[in-house]
Formats: sequence, structure tokens, C-alpha cells
Amino acid sequence: MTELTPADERFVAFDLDDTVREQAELDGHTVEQLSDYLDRGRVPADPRIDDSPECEIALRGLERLRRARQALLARDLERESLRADDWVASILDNITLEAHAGRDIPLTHPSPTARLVVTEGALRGILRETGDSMQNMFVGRCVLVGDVSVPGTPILIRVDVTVFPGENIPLLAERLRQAMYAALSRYTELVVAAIDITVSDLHALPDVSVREMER
Amino acid sequence: MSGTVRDQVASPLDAAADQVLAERAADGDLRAFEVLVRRYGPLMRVYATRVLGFNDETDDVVQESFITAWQQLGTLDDGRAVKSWLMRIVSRKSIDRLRARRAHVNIEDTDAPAPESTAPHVVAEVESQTEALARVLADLPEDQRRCWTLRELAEYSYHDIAFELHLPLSTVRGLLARARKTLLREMEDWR
Amino acid sequence: MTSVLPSTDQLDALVRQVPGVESLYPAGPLVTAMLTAALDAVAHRAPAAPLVYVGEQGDGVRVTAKIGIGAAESSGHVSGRVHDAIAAHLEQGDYPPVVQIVVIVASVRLSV
Repeated sequence: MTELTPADERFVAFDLDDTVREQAELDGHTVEQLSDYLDRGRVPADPRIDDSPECEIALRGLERLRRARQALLARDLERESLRADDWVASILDNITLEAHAGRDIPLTHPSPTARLVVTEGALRGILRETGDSMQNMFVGRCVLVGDVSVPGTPILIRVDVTVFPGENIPLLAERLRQAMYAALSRYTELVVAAIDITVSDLHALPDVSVREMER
Repeated sequence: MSGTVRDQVASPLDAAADQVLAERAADGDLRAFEVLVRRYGPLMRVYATRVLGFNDETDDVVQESFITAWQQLGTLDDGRAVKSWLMRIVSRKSIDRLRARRAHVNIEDTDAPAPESTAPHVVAEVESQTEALARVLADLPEDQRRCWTLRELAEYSYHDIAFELHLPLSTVRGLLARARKTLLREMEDWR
Repeated sequence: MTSVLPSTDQLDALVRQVPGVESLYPAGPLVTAMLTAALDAVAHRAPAAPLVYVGEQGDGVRVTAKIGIGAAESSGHVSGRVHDAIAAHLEQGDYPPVVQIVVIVASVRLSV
């Protein structure tokens, strides 16, 4: 184990080896307990901690450590963001559509030696792109329900959509449905019985998750 | 005006919530996946660097993590959890690398040097707390730093850390306590 | 009987020239594709794996092409045309009989 000099008296609470002394100096608490308390946002409030001057000093130290940790992360992330973009390309070059191709959906051709198919993944792509061409919504998951392997079998399509605030949802959903019908009939031979669109509101502003990352 | 959200959105998918991106990527949408790569790749790199030290392996680990993520996105039930899911993958890959490295070198205390850890005991008086933390972190024993990084950067629970590192829960608690106390004490010194 | 298999390089070029085809993906078994991709990555070279896959099946030959198409036409039209081009090519040469020609439309790109 690494050699560490005993803590300065002033910081006896942070003694690395002696839990008894640590607790004695922190009104019966440990640094771990205080750290967890801080992680919980100091709720529910614990008067035995809040009213202890010794704990308060330790908590301030832990808070300072947390701020330094956040600053360090922010600095590191900033450095990363200055990097050239080629790392993204090298990741994308190394993945294949194979993983999400899904089922094969047959296309007709007169020759007996022909086996022509369009993948489920390609069809989902058509549905997504159709949604992307419309404004103020995001198309999420697209599911093809039914036996797509038998030509002519009517299938059901389920689509999740997130709509920006203030939009007329029924109108937008109907326009999307018509556009998807049109795209499917143009590019595929599927018999589509229905397109179910589930709409949810976009509650949070879009950049929330990015901000959360820097927390 | 109702157009404010739209105006902020240069390329629409960049602004999509994690859930939408994760679901689209699970459906095979490369563009959505690319947004996730850009959104969380830097954090994953920072994280892998803290675990592995600065070296070539970081790039490999992050790349492998995203390739695994792409293949396994269908198994992610809740797209909102994609960030912690990605952090879990990169943690696992980083730890695998450490194990392989240790098996290779066969010395317990091998530790990749981090650039901050130049001359450990020569500290510039004006050193900021950020730099101080970076340096102290780099000087921590490897097992302590790994626990601390899993806890504070990847937001793992004690239990998850124990599981990932194949350590008893009590050991994880002990390592984290030591790491925190060392960090606290060192930070005090440079106030 | 001369049973030389058709050249995949020729087939790759042939399929790429079919109107409506925007991209051509490796169609061989996944293991082969991954292995070649890994070798390519190590050697820092452009992907060398043949894209159109030619395999023997019984006394004949089975050809598989995996394509991406654009917005102009339906997947049925473009894949049919790819099939016909491959079939015509195989008829011209001294090749084993065609057992099957598989054309997989793996992506449809609507936008530019």
C-alpha cells in the first residue's frame, strides 16, 4: 500500500486509517456518511449533522471538492470538444447496418431465380425520413406489426412521435400519416392496414440532456 | 413567437431528446447514433482517460464502446437512460483493459502516468483547485482512483462498483473513503 | 465443363452502374465481411472485401447483392433491374447455371 503520512492534526477527521478518531472528530459521523448526505442534497435534513460545527467544516470541504470535480470535468470536456472531428468518423465507419436490418420483406419479380427483398431496417428508414421532412416533430421508434414475409398480408405500423409545444397535434399526425402512406406505396409493395401514431409532447427544452452532462 | 424552439435548432436531430435518439438508433438510424456519439463521446473519453491514464488505449476503448452500443441498443429498454448505459459500457471496457494490462505486466502497482502528475511534490503556489485535483487524482493509488472515478464521474452506486470491480462492498467503501479523505486533505493544503 | 465462378469485381462494377443504385454493401456472410474489414483496418486500406457475394450452391451459382437506393424509384424497380443486369451478365459468360440471384435493398435514402 502507498505510504501516506498521518494527517495533520487540523484534519484529523480525514485520518486515513483510524475510523474511531474520524468519528470522534465528526460528532460520530464518517466522511462517507457526510459525502452521501451531500449527494442526497442534504435531504431529509439531519439536525445532528446540520447543527454540528465539525460536520459543517467537513461538508464545506466536500463541497469544495465537488466544485473542483465539476470544474475539472468541464475543463476536460472543453478540451475534448476542441479535438478534430475524425474520431466520430472512425466510429461511424466501423459500424454496419447489419445489426438493425430486421426482417426481409419480399418484393415480386417474374423470374423463378430471383429473390428480391427490402429490409425492415430500410423501411423504418423511409418512415423516419418522411417524418424528418416535416417540421416541429421528431419521429422516434417505428414498428412493423404483422407477417411481412408473406406478400400481400396486411400489416400495421406503429410510430412514436414527439411534437413541439404549440402544434395542432391531430392535424400534424394526419399529415404525417398521409405522407407515410404515400412513401410506403411509392417505395414498397406493403399492404398497410393502418398507421398508428402515438404522440407525446416535447416537455423539456431540447438542450436539457446536454446541460445535464456537465453537471 | 411559436418559432423560438425551431429557430434554435440548426440541425433538428441535434436537439432531440436522448430517448428519441436512442430509439431511432435502435431502429438503425445512423444519424441519430451520430448525435449520441457527439453528445456523450467526449464525456466517455474523459472518463476512460481518468481510468486508464493518458494513452492510445482511450481512443480504442471509446470506439469499441460505441460499436458495442450500436449492436446492443435494441436491449436498452428505456432510451432516457442511454447516458448511464453508455457510461456503463465504457466503464466495463476500461476495466477490461486494466485487467489485461495487469495480467500482462504482472506488477500490482503499475499505473499509467497522467500528464498532470509531473513532479508530485513540486506544487506551484498559484495552482488552481482544478489543477490540484487533477494532480492529486493522478497520484492516487489505482484502485482508489478507479472507485472514485466510477462513483463521481460515472455516478455508479457502491453496489455497482463492487460488482464491476469484483470487490467486496466493504472494500469499495474503504477505498472510496480513503480516496475522499486524501483528496480532502490535499485540497485543504492548497486552499 | 468449365465452371469458373463469375468475377466479383466485375459484378461490383456492374451493380454500381445500375440506375437507382446509390451504394453497395458487403453481402457475404458476416464473419467474412468482419474479418476482411478488420484486416483492412489493420492495413489502413480502403475496404477490399468483394461486395457482391458469389457462392456455389449444388451445381450452380448463387449471387447476392446488397444495395442502397435513392429517392427516384421504388425498391421493387431498382432491385429488379439489378437482378436483370446480373442475370444477363451470367448468361453471357461460361458460368455454372444460376440457382438464385438475391438482391437486398438495405437502405432507401429519401433526402440528399
